Amino acid sequence: MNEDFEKLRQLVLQDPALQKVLQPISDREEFARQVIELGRKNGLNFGEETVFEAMNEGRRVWIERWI
Amino acid sequence: MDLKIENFRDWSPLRIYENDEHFFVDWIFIGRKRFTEPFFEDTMQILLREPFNLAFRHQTPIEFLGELYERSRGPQPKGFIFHVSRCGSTLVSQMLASLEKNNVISEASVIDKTVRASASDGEKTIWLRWIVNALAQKRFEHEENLFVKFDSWSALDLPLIETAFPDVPWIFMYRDPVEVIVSNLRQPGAQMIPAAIEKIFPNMNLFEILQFSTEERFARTIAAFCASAIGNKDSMLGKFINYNQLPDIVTGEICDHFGVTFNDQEIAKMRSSSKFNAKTPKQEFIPDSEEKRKEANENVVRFAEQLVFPLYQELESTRSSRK
Repeated sequence: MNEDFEKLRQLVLQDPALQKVLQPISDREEFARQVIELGRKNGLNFGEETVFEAMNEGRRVWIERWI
Repeated sequence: MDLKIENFRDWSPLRIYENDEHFFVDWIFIGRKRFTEPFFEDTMQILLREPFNLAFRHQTPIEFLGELYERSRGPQPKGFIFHVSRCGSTLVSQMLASLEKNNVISEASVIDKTVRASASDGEKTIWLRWIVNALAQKRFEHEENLFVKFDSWSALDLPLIETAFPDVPWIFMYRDPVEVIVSNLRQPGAQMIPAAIEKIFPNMNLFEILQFSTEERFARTIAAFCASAIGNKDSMLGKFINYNQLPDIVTGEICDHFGVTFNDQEIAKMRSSSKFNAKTPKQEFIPDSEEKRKEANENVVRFAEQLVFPLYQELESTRSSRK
């Protein structure tokens, strides 16, 4: 996992105000843009593919709840 | 533990898993979404369409649920629903869920995983209280009652669940076994996957289980659930409900048994929801008992009569004697 993205993830999970910005976004490209922008504002750099990779990983993990 | 409980407001546990001999929980943001779909997992599928829920999830050790239990106690469940599958239990849960004051958790995999975790009964009893409490967290002002419908195979764990919740009344729902088997032949439930649920055929491996015909295996599965319910028939918390008592029994005896009362308007709303197919709520409900009986082949009838019907009769006689 990209270290900067992981740092941003922890930042978001500790801050409901940041979550409120991202939660309503249903378009994945727009969501990735906003996450990247939020990262940049916090000195964390990663690209669109990192966000999509995290989403794919999330999808896999949630499917594993059945196993 | 360095986790703030307030950061978990509007989040729900969705996955429990073991890693290096420790149990962990993954949490999903649920916000203002009520559990109104026929199954908890249907609601989760909707939430998992959101990019946020794919990219962000809280991960905590299972002990955090204990901290939540101590510091943020949700409503105690008003009633549990156990069933043989395909017997109207989803109709009951959907009727209850039609009222905003009712929070209905229906066949949540996170509860099932807790019940079937590779841990001692003592640990599981505690974890079950914790996980139900996490799901019970009050998110709406008008929310009053919590109901939990378990997976069909959880009937095999009734004693464990009763130990965890010694004050919570439960119902066990059943139906003519021929109809239940036919319904499962049309579309088998997870309980019918050979060896998927170890407790259904204890001490038998997959090869041995596959020696049964499909009809016999399904009949034996349903018989195991009925036998477990009968094994707990003396419990003052339990009540047996036959499919043919639906839907009127829901707003009558079932609500009485669960100790909940609803006003006329609420009862009308629950009754109105019973007119629709519980699993596909956009379609109207059409009684299909006769159709299912006609569809039953010789093996279905034979194994239902031989393996399940004596138990069905015992459930019926117990139900009648308790009226």
